[in-house]
Amino acid sequence: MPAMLRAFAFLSPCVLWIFLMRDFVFCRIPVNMDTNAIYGDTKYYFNNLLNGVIPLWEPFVSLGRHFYAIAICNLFNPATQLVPLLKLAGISYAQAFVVYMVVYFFIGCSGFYFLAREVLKDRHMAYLAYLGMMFSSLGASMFTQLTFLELLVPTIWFFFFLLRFSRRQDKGNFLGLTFSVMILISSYLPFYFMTVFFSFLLVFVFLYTGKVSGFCGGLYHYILKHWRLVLLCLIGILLAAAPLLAYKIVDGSGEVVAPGRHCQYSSAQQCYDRTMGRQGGMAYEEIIRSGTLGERLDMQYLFGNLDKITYGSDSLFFLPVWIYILLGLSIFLPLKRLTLLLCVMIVLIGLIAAGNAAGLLGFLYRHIFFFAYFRNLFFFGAFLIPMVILLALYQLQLLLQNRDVTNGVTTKKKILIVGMVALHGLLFFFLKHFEGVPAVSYATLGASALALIVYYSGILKLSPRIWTGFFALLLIFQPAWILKAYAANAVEFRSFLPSMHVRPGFAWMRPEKPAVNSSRIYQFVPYEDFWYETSMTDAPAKVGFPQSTIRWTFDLSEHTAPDVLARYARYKIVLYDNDDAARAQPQTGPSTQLDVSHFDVNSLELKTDFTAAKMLVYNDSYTSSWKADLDGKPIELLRANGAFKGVHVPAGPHTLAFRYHPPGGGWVYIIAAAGLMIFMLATILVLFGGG
Amino acid sequence: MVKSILGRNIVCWALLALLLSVSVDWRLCTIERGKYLLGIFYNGYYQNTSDGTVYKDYLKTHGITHEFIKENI
Repeated sequence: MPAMLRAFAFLSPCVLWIFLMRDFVFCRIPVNMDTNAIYGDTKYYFNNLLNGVIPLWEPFVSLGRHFYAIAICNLFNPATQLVPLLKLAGISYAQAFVVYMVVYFFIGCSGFYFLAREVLKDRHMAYLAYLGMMFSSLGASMFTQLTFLELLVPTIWFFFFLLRFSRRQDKGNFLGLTFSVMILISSYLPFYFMTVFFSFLLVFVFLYTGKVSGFCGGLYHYILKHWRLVLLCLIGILLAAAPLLAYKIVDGSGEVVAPGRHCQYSSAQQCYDRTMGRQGGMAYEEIIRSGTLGERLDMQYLFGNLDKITYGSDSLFFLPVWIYILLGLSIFLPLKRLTLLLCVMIVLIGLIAAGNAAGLLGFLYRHIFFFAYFRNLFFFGAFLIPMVILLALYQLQLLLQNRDVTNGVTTKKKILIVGMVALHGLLFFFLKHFEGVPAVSYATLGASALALIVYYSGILKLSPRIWTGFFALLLIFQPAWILKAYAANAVEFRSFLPSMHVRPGFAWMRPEKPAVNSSRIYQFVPYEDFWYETSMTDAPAKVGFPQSTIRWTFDLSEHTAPDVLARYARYKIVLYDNDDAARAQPQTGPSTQLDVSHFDVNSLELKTDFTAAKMLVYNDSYTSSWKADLDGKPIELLRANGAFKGVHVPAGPHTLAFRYHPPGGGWVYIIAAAGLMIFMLATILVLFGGG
Repeated sequence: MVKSILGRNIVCWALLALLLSVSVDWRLCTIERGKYLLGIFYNGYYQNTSDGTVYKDYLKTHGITHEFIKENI
């Protein structure tokens, strides 16, 4: 195929997709739900980075907390670095973030093309797989659940490189495999991938027993021959895991309320006991009540009322109807090993994702440790979509091979044509069974019948490329209509998110009331924290959603009336005379005795000039990772008033500084980002340079 | 003959469908789905508190009828 035509074939679907999703892509409809939260974290990270600070602390919400999201929002991925680059080029953060998401999605679709080409060994089918993924719900869901892409894109590339490595053990594939693992570890919790990978291993070993020993032998020889490269790759993986490990250390200290994240799913007392008892992981009940696939999906939803899908829910899950039609058409095809592999994988992952509605998750929770460390089981839906697409296109490949190429009317042709008509008829009645199936789905069914009848009859002698073009139209016709309806339904969410670059300033007082903003973000769970994070302004003095709140702040909020805590912690700095600890002197602004000389999200520097020694309390959460120094010399930092930072300050002019130094500091993140960039460049150079 | 019949997709998919139907508590799925959707959309009027849209049909199409809510949720 000429290069121009190939470029057209691959780029035109992207253009169509962008056109259909233009309101989202051009930020007229802002990102919603979890993507909104990830945008908040991403903006917070890069905004501070461009200010010259690696943000490790969030002083604006929950009375100050560890910036836990730094480890789980794909911030070190080379693709994510588009956000600051575009910002420097003059594009707003919100727009830059959407560009990054869309580019990442297309990277995922391209990866799926290569993976499908490796699996099906057919360029045309791989192209259809590329389209199938692009026009499934995966693209549209990035605006509400970016985590799907964070989990899926590196997984697709991982399996691509794994398959290539199993066939050709060279450096490029090994580096690609390593880089995919690095991205997987640094993007989000790796447990979803581990579940899919171990399920795959289990099914693969069972179905392809003969190939396992060959692969293991090849891997063993490769490791022996290239041990230096293998060692380097292991170091790379450790570097990529460093942010997650750093968070695990913070979490392990017991000073951060990680289980508090799940308090909405257990009683307040249970949550408090578990938090203060420093118990890691989650209770089984917390996992099953926090978003399973059974909760988000039903058969009716796959086919009916697709024009009603709302932007206000993150249960978006659809596949092009032609994918289902292909599965229906293949019922009489011979059962192949690959079909069985994909079917079993789909059922296995589906059963795990179903949570308590199936028994498998309970079994795994009891026997495998990492099942206590992740929830949101509906994220597995992201893995099911490409598996179903691959399965359907493999069936199409087998269906197309059944063609009788002899001239004239033959019995085989007659059987195939009658079979196609009958199966399409049955599928028509199957669809009729559901309420609100759109006309476009029936139109696709009719067009599918016509195309396959013509194909099997041999009336038209068209090249495979032309047939692929027809099939591509069948594949994208119905989902294009769904995406159009989805975008139309989302118009009511039009609003703006904070996207200006901010140089955060120190406010002496926290606001009494929540900020009024125009964002129309889905309010099912409290997302307001992310608005404050994005705009870098103070939230009212309270612990709202106890998400990575500091242990003592959480404890204080549980034992203090909200209005009492709010009245006290409104003031960021409170002074006490050393001989009269009961008399608090809340500070409402700078004075001759106290002023702020520097503030960023990790530190606060004050100039003091007291006439007598004072106890100064900075009403920002205390942790042992905070340090204080006076005139450059370390001084003791006390936990004051239950949860905050306090120091004794002598009379006279002094410089007092509070600085946050969690394990590893900012270096952990610099090293992780640099490691990922180096491995990406090395992989590209070796793959394309043949080095 | 038997081998060629057993070696078709239809047999495999029927078995997997059987496995799914016996190992998944579909009613529990519907109850959970009801709770989830009501959590978002229900304020007494099937109305999303965020956007004001009435989603009665949306719930109904997910198997969450008024009777179902009364009986199960």
